[in-house]
Amino acid sequence: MSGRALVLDASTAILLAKIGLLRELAGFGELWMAEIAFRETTTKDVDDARLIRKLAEEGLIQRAAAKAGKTDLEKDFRLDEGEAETIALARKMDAIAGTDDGPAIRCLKVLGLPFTSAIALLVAMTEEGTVAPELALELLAKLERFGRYGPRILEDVARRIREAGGGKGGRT
Amino acid sequence: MKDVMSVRLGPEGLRRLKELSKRDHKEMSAVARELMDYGWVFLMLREYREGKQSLGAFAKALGMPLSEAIDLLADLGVRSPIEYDDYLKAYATAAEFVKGRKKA
Repeated sequence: MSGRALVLDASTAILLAKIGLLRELAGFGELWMAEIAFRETTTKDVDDARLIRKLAEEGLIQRAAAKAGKTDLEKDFRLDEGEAETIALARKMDAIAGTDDGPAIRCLKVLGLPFTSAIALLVAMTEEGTVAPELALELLAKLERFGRYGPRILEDVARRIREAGGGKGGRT
Repeated sequence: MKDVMSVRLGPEGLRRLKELSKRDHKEMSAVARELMDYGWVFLMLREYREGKQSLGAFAKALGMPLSEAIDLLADLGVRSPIEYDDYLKAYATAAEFVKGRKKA
């Protein structure tokens, strides 16, 4: 798995931008977005859209189109074209797909492709030491609102963040 | 609002329309149109919550940008259809992604 690029769909890119973790994530490796997902994410002139646009301008988020197989994914898994192109791009690049969308995750599981989500990335970056546990708990509160994860997920994330608290310094 | 169609209403539907029309001082046709809009939003919300519809499809059905759709779902407290075992898989992948990859 190591060394693979991460292709973000609109949901995960927006969530990470809303909690201010997207720029830090770019420090870990190649971030990509499908053209349609990028367009969907940046249509409205709001803070998260501005950040995503800026990261793309800085070359920290790269963009590509992936038409092959997109339409079948839309039809077979009731996906929108942005989500379908994200998965098609991840498959084409042999990359990880970043999504917080239920049907998209179902599709990725059926296809056997690796996936991650905003809240999972928050935990991993906290355990790795990039995000201080105190800050991570604040970001978790934001994700609880915008990501609307279930209580079992939230409890597990809070536990892992607290357990990471004994270790490294991280961002404050 | 160019097309006109006639719809047969049951007694309960008609009673609701009359009640709302009286309460909000609106014509029954206006109330009927509003209820159709609310019904559409409710149906899309339910389909999204049940995982039958993706976030992108939900946003498109409501004619709003994705970021706004996320805000709406947050305001209404609609839970994400992501399951716990999906989260665990996502976590394992995230851990692999960040492991030892921090750029200098």
